[in-house]
Amino acid sequence: MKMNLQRWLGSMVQVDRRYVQLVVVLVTLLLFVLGGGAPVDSYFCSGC
Amino acid sequence: MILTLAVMAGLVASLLRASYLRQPLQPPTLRSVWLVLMAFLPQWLAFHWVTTARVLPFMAAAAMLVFSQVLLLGFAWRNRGQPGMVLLGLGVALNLAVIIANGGLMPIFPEVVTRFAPNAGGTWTTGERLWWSKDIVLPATATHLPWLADRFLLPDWLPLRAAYSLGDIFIALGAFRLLWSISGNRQPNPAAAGKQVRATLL
Repeated sequence: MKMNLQRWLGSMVQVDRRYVQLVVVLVTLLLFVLGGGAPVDSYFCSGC
Repeated sequence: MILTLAVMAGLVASLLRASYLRQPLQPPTLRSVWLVLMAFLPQWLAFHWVTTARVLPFMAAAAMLVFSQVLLLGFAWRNRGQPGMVLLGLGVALNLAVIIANGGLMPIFPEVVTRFAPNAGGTWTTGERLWWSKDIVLPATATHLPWLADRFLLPDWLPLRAAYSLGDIFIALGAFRLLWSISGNRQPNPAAAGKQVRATLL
């Protein structure tokens, strides 16, 4: 019982770590493309 | 904003691939993430937060853009071993080259602005910054490195209208490639090879 609980907790930690890492990658990539890219779209011209 | 679609497309494709291959996602560990945060802050003030973007003088916005893109190049260099990072770095380098060559902002031709925003006549002037974007309206004849300018337009049948550069295309491909790589084919970390990974994201 204790082993199963420890194994389950270990799995949860692994999942959480990957989620955090995935979010870090996504946010970093979003900021990178917004900063490094230079397209102009209708966002900058409301109403036109 | 259109480049965020490349990130979304890469994420969706990667999730579908991971699901199909029944593999857990393996996001990379990126180095020096703080460089991206430091790089985005001045751009947020100069181009994304309307309150400051409208009042910042041309030279300040130009200096912030160049400084910011240099930091992003540093980030790409620090992570050059990651899939897609060379494309991301190349895209930023191309954009930075044409931006520096034209005084600190991305050039866009008047005819491109006319096609991109046909109802916006009178809201922009040749030789000046285009609204509060990163672009400056310059005739092709007065533009250095014109092939790297914002000269491409999305197809008319798309609901979104945007003008983009060759560098933007490389950035979109690099973002897609990096996200695609997290759904498989990554060599297992030797340090973790002995551990059995039971948890998956999907």
